[in-house]
Amino acid sequence: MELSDEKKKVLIIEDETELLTILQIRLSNAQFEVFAASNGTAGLTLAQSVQPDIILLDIMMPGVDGFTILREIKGADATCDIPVIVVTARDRIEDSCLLEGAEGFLTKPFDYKELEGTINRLLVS
Amino acid sequence: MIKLKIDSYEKILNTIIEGIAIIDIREHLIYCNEAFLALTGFSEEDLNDGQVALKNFPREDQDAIRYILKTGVNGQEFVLQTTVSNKKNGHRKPVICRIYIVEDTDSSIKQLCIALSSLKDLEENDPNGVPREIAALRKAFISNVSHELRTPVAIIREAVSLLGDATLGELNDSQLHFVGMALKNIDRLTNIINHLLDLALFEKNSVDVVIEPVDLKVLIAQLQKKYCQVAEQKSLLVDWQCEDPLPDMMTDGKKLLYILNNLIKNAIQFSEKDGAVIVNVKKSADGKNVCILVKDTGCGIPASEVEKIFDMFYQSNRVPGPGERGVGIGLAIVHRLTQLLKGQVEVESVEGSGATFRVTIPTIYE
Repeated sequence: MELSDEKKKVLIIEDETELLTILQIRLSNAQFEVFAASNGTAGLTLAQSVQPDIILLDIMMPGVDGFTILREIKGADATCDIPVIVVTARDRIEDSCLLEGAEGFLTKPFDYKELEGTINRLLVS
Repeated sequence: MIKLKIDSYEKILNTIIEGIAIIDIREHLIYCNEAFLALTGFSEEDLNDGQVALKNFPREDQDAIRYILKTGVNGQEFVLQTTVSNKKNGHRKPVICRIYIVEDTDSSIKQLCIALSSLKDLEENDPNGVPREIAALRKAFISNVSHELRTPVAIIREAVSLLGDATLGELNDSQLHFVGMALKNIDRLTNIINHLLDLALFEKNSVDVVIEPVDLKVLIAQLQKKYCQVAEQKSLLVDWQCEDPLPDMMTDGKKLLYILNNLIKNAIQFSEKDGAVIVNVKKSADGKNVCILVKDTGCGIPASEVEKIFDMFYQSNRVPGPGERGVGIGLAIVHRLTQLLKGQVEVESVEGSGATFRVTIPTIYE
């Protein structure tokens, strides 16, 4: 990932902490600055304070679910321009996620290369 | 005012044919409706006794309900197929027992709401002998479990591929071989889960045909984008031969996409490395149909199997590419969906020389 000298900031909102850890390792290794939240509320707070360049968002989380977080992110001036990639075990919700403003959609289990490709594509555009 | 409300609730609950009961954390029955009393044979006096709540269930199910009461969290729902004995006549009746955890967020008081539906009543209403409720539960179970399986599979896949990518240190050839073997089978498992979900969705939506304007060109572009990377990895040439312009269609776009997607996925899956797949889309001579041809250079289908290829759960002896093996659902769904769209699907194959699938779908669904 050589889009600029400065590391791009990725925020991962995912309640499965093991997957969160793996993605942290992967993305740090790919020269991203990684921020992680294991629940929706913490993720939303981080999105507002860190102002990441891109957000990876799980949908099915206990408490505040990913749909709500997506709506909050896309509904606030401070965060509405941050691209969001939904990464979820639920398929056939792609249309709903895109309607809510998500820029990318991946179904678990995903191919990491596809995830990194989608991140880079959205960061460039 | 409040008293009146509670009375109204009680009246409503007493009109329901399901037996409803509320149990507290000490397993005391704190409320039940008349249907619950009738099912269990409890009397009003028993209610005062309190500790009668779970006695009418078989021992193993009592333990299950206790476990739910202990570990369940607010809003969770569970379903048990069990029996309940009647205190008055000693008869045991099969029931569907739905259990809901209700927790007061202010006081943290946890209660269980139990709803019992008599299975005999359900069976009497079902023309096929299979209780409708049970059939619905089975489908929901397949769908939910398949979704639940995806998350652990995603974690295993990521953990294993992390090892394979040498992010955490170089592996030797032998270690890489086994990591590759694990990845191949994780993808196989994913494939099975996806097919189960397809089946669950098909069963749920098999009757509904949603007719809408369909831009075939957009559909094809979607598939081209989806498969270009896979084809490249396999050094496969996918030749997209699409007539221009393609006719405007009025049909069920999602079902059509499923049909095309499955045929193309199969063709890529069954083609050898460096092979070729042809996707040809054009309108029929009279313009009333769209004809789709998907041809692969795989090992073909033996003549004895051609007729069975569209049967549900039939697995052809075709040897697919590495790491890919079907579960006999995809083509069966393709066949049924094509019929739903009032079209036809045929297959031609010579063993050893690939297979050609031809789909004909009416341009306008009538």
